[in-house]
Amino acid sequence: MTVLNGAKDARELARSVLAEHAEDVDRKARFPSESVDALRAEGLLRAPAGGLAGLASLAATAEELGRGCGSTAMIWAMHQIQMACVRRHGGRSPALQDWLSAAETRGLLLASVTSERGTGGDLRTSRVAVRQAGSKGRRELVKDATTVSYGQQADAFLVTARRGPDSSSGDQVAVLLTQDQVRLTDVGTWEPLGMRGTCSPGFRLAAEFDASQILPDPFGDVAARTMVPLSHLLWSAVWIGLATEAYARATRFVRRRLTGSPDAPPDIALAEAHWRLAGVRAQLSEFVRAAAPVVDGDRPPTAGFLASANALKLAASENCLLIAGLSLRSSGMAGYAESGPFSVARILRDLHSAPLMIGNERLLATNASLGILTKGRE
Amino acid sequence: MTREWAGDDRPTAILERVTSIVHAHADLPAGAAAPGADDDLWDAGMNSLASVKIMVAVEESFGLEFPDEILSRATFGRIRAIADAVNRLLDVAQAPR
Repeated sequence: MTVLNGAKDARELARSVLAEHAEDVDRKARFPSESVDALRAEGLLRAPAGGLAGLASLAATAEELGRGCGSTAMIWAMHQIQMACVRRHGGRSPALQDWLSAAETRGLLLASVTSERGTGGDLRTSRVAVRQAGSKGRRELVKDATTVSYGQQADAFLVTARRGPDSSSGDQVAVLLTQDQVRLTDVGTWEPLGMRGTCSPGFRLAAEFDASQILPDPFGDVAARTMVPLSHLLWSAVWIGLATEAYARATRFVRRRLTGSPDAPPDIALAEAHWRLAGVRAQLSEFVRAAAPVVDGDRPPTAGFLASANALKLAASENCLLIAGLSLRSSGMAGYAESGPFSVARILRDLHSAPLMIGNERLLATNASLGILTKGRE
Repeated sequence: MTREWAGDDRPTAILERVTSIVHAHADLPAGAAAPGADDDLWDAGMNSLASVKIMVAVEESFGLEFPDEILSRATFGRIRAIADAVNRLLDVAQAPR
């Protein structure tokens, strides 16, 4: 079936290139260049076919990639999210259309620069503003981003900023900058617990660009209609892929151990992992269905829809981490080791990023407030 | 359902009440001008927490419940859009059965 071709290719890549390099990528906290090159060669950096089928296929691809290498999968997901924003909200700007054509042909990699020092991790708050540059039609900005995934390897950046120096903090635009326009300085260090291959240190970004590179749609709309729903959807799918891999390894371990000790008691930790995994899968599936008319159509995102998007992210981040923990508990030393066929160590470390990637406390507070309005009607 | 919301001046009365609710709860940055009926509240600096407070206050004040379909950024974003939504809901609520 055409809709799942992308996912099938992704599965093959995950089992080969991604899996082959995942340990080294993790150990060295290096960019997974072999894996990203392979994704590019298979056309997986390109836009998927449209509609609900496209969204389901994207989710399936995210999961398959997650089973091979969490960092590669997350890089791929973040790239697809930013690309969707430019495609959908770029209007008819020739500068943006030209770049999109180049991106499709050459498999260019797009990074997101939404974080900023002093905004407390709030996507919808910017301090920096787009400013007039010397000549007519030229603009400039300087942004201190606290974390930018694969910023030093990206071909382009989607950067948020206030519309102008007199704009309020929430009145934001998104700007597409190409790598040659951008100067990155004060690059931080990246030595985290997990997702080590995403190479996400902070840096200062300075750029001069053309006004036509600013996405015409206000960033508030870009965020609500595309970036937030697609982020929560694809990140959750990556985490489900990681959790599924951990669970599969633990199951194989328990099965092998049973061969040697047929009277061993049943592993109830894995039974718990199983129902949690079933739950998040169902929640993802349901959200894919609900998101299609919003992300791929004109249905406005409602308060209830945003609450669902947040609930998916909350459930997937918390449950997938638990699932990996249960898998570890069932696999003993073989799971605890950093390598080997039953290792779940890196998977667990990668999944620890999930509750932090947009802090769950922030999302819970948002949903607590939305809940009073929506009263569960979604 | 309140019976006071009737008559030709209903839309004006609703707009006035919604305006005062928004001014009370929008939590705009200090020094910002009070938004007019067609001003973009998001651009004026309203955040999503304030918008929820506004919509809850509007529901309580008019004795209504907004269906999720209209709880969108477009509705939250302008005083007139909120007032229109209230008008439509009151029409539905007060329609003869």
